Formats: sequence, C-alpha cells, structure tokens
Amino acid sequence: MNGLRLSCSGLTRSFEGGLVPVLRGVSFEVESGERVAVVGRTGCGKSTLLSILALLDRPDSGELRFDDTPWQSIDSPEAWRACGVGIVFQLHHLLLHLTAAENLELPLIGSAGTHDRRQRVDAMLDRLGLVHRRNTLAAKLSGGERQLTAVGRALIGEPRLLLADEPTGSVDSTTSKRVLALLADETRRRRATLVMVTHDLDLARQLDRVMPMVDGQIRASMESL
Amino acid sequence: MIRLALRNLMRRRLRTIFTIAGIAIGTMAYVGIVALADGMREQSQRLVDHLSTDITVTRAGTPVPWMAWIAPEELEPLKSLPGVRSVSSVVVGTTRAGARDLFIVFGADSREPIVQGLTITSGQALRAGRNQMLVGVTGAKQLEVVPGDRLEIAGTELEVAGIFETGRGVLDASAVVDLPVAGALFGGQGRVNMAFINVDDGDAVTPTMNTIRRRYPRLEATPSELFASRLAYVEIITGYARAFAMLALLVAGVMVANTAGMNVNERRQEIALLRSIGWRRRRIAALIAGETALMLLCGGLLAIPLAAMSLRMVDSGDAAWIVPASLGIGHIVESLALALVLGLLFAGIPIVQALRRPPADALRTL
Repeated sequence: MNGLRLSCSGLTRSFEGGLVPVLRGVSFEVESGERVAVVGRTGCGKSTLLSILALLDRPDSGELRFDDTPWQSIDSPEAWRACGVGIVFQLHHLLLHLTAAENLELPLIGSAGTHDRRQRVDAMLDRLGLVHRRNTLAAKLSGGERQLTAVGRALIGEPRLLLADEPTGSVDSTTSKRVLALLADETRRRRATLVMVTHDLDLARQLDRVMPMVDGQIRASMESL
Repeated sequence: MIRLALRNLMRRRLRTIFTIAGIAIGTMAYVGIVALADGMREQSQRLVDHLSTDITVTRAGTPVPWMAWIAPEELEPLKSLPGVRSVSSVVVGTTRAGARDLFIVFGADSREPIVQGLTITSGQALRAGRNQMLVGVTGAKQLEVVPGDRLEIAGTELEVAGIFETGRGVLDASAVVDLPVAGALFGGQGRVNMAFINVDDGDAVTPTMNTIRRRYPRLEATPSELFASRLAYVEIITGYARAFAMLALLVAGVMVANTAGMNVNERRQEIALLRSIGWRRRRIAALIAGETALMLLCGGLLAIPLAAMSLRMVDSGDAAWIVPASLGIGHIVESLALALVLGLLFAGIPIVQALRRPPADALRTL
C-alpha cells in the first residue's frame, strides 16, 4: 500500500479569537512515500501544522487534501487516523499504568482480533528490541524505551502517513539515532509518507526533503531559517 | 476493553473503593427501604390471607383500620345478609410488652376458627372468659416467655396459655387474646376494629360487598385478597419510602458523576491521545462508561448482603411486622437497574463534555 499524498494551500490557523495567528498561509505538497522534514524555530507553527495534518485540529482557511480527498470530506477523523495515520509526539504520551505491550496494543483494539493483536505486538516489540520489556509497566521504562514504544505504537497500525513531532526531542543521542532509523526504515519499507517536524537541521537532512518554516509559512530557501 | 477498564479503575484504587462503597450504601438504602415498605404491605396481606376469609370490613374512610372502632350492632345485620356464612370480629391493639416497644395484640372470639385454627406448639389453647393469651413463637422468644408465665399487657397481667406458630411473621411476633379481654385491654367496650366475612360461595363476594356499601355506608367492604393494597396508610408510607429510597440512590448517582467527572478531567490528555491513535469517541465513551458500570455493578452486588444484613437486624426488633419474608429478587434487580441507569446518566455528562473538546487542545498542553 502506498503512502498518502498531501497537498495544502493557503492554510491559516490562529488562536485567541484571531489575535494570535500561527499559520499564515501554509502551502506545500508531499508526494506519496516521500519523507520530508519541516524545520523551524520554536513557535513558528510546526506543531500546529502537524496537528492540522493529523486532523487533531482544523484550519481556519485554506485547502488540505489527502490524495485527492479534501479534509472536509473526512467524516470521522478518528476512523481516518485508525485506518492509516500514525503520530509520534515529542513526549512519549504512553499510558503509564499499562505495560509496553498493552500500550502497543491500544491502536489495534477494535480493529484486530486478540490473536492478531498479540502477534503484531510481539513482532513490533522484536523490531523495537524491547521483547524483554514486554510486561514492564510504561512507568518503569527508561526515557529512551518509552519513546521507542511510542514510535512502535505509531507504526503498529501500518500507517500510510506518519506524522512525527520532534520525535527525538526528549531522548539522548543514541536513542535519537535509533528512533530516526526506525522511522526512516519503516516508512521506506512500507512506502509510507513521513512528515517530521524538528528544529534539528542535521536530523532533517537525513530525510528526502527539508521544508523550512518561518513565522507560520513554508519558505523555499533554507537561508530564511 | 474490560481488562483496560479494570486497569484504569485500579489506577485510582482508593477513589474507586470509596465510590463503590458509596454506591453500595445508596443501593442498600434503596433495597432496604423499598423492601420494608413492601414488607409492610406483604405482612398485612399475609395476615389476612392466614385467616382465609372472603371479605374484610373496616370503618369507611379510615386510613388505618385498627385506629377506628365498629360497634357490634353495626356488624350484627351483616350476619343475616344473603350468602353470608360467618362474620368474625377482630380487635387489633398495640402496646409495650417486656423488651418490645411495639407489641401487637389481636383479639378474637376464642371459639372462632381464627383462633381455633392456630397451631399450638406448646401449652394449650385459649379458654374463654380467662385472662389468658397465646403468644406467637417469635414474640415468645423475644419476650422470653413460656406457657404458664404471666405477662403485663396494657396494665393488665395475662397468663401465657400457649405458644403458636403460623409461619406468618407478623402473627408469630404478636399475641392473641379472647375478644372480651382485648376489648378490656384497649378500651373498645365491646367494639371491634375489623370484621371478616366468609360467604357461601365465591360468586357471592361482589354482591355481598355491594350490598354492604349500599346499605351501610359507614362500613368499608374489601375483598380480603386485596386488603393490603387498599390500605391507604400503607400506600402513603410506601410512597414516601420510595421517594426517600430514590433520594438515596440519587445521592449515589451524584457521587458517581463526581467520580466520573474527576476521572475524565484528569484524563483529558489520555482521552486526546486515544483519539489521536484512532479511538472513536464512541469507544472512549464506552470505556469510561464501562468503568462506571463496573463500579456500579460492584457496589450493587455489595449492597445485596448489606441490605439482607440490615433487614435481619430489623427482623429481630420491634419492626419485625414490616420486614418482608425475604429480600425479593425484584428489589435487587430494580435497584441495580436504577443505579446503573442513574449512574450512567450522571456520568454521561462529563464524558460527553470531555469528548467534545478538540484533541489538539489537550495534546498542546502535554
């Protein structure tokens, strides 16, 4: 299955009743299976853009299409995400009272049977190198293990679009490399589309394309950063 | 999902335990109060059923039949009505006796089947014209009397002639005396509180009642099988009892809503996260409602032995006459269903509120 193609044009989003404009006409396209990085300083609107791409938030105006489907045509954003979108947050956001395996299982509840879920969870734990932590509560995992589990949770549903918001922002450099390798490998293997938001230019350069973002707009030139 | 719901409940163990305890107490109060109210009706009916009569005659317009008197000359003409086989008169009095603050004494003619039909387990039957009494097996146990003992009733000392057992809670917790003795004890001066009519055949019940109503408007004739359901005071007490019982359940419902509200509020980010990984709102609502339902179920199940225990405590006291024979399955099912509906209804408000918020709002604050 190929990755989703994204196209957006003139996306705007502001807060506080329009007093705080964050996105000021964002336009770009991402081809199916392409892996792009949105790079910019803190507060430039990267995370807001990612929230809108994940349909966790709505744009005030502008066009946003997934393949050829406008976002307004998607009746249930939850169902849409369940069927093909994975999100990795800067912080792991694991449910700390559940085990690593149970956290990985969460996106599959309702869409896969118990046996299938168990198989997929075991396979993912193996890929993450966390088999030995299967039944460990998330609260007792190290920071790196938590973030790896969070990446696994985003990948386990075999998404066509993977959205990552500073996925390495809260881990050490060794884990950072593992996380990035995992995201890159998995998206390449499945030809999924990856949009990663980061302020780390070196990290961004490891992907297919870098899109600089400044003051709520995507710029053509890296010099504007 | 159930496993997940249980894990979520165990996460806040103390809060869960307190909520379950609250539900249990509320449900217990509901089951207990409603059971007692229904028990009052049930026991009154069982008493009349025991007498195996067709028509019960009381003073018209009185909500409590044993607080109104009927003169013998008012009952006398009833004996000659067509189809009437027998008319038995009864006095019902309440008094303090020994350790019992509320002791019911029935007065009936010792030669009539009402008294003759009692099964004497020890001692002997009542003898007319003597200051004697028969005590029910429960009453005898509570008052610690045996045949031959003397007991002061309403200022008069009576001899316990025998102990009887009927299997009817209210009768077995009371005493029976000869009609003239009852009249002397409770100041009836020959008057009675109720009369029971037996007719020659079942078809005569309605015509006989109609005749009594038409000819004697100061008397109320009721089919004996419907006696308890026509008792106005029972209806009033039952109505109030149900209202108070519902109030107890409402309090439990509010507590459930409060707990659900706190849970939902603390889990705003978790809810947003679940939505971000593709959980539909319906599923999240089902999870939280499931947690609430599990608490309600635990509380409801815990309430059953608690209610049974509390009724047993009442059963051994002065209020034995209103305790039902058993804790009906109907009361339990009713309370569980009501607790479930009310709890989910109350819990639904914070759940819906939480699910209306855009997930990005909660995730931004992470």
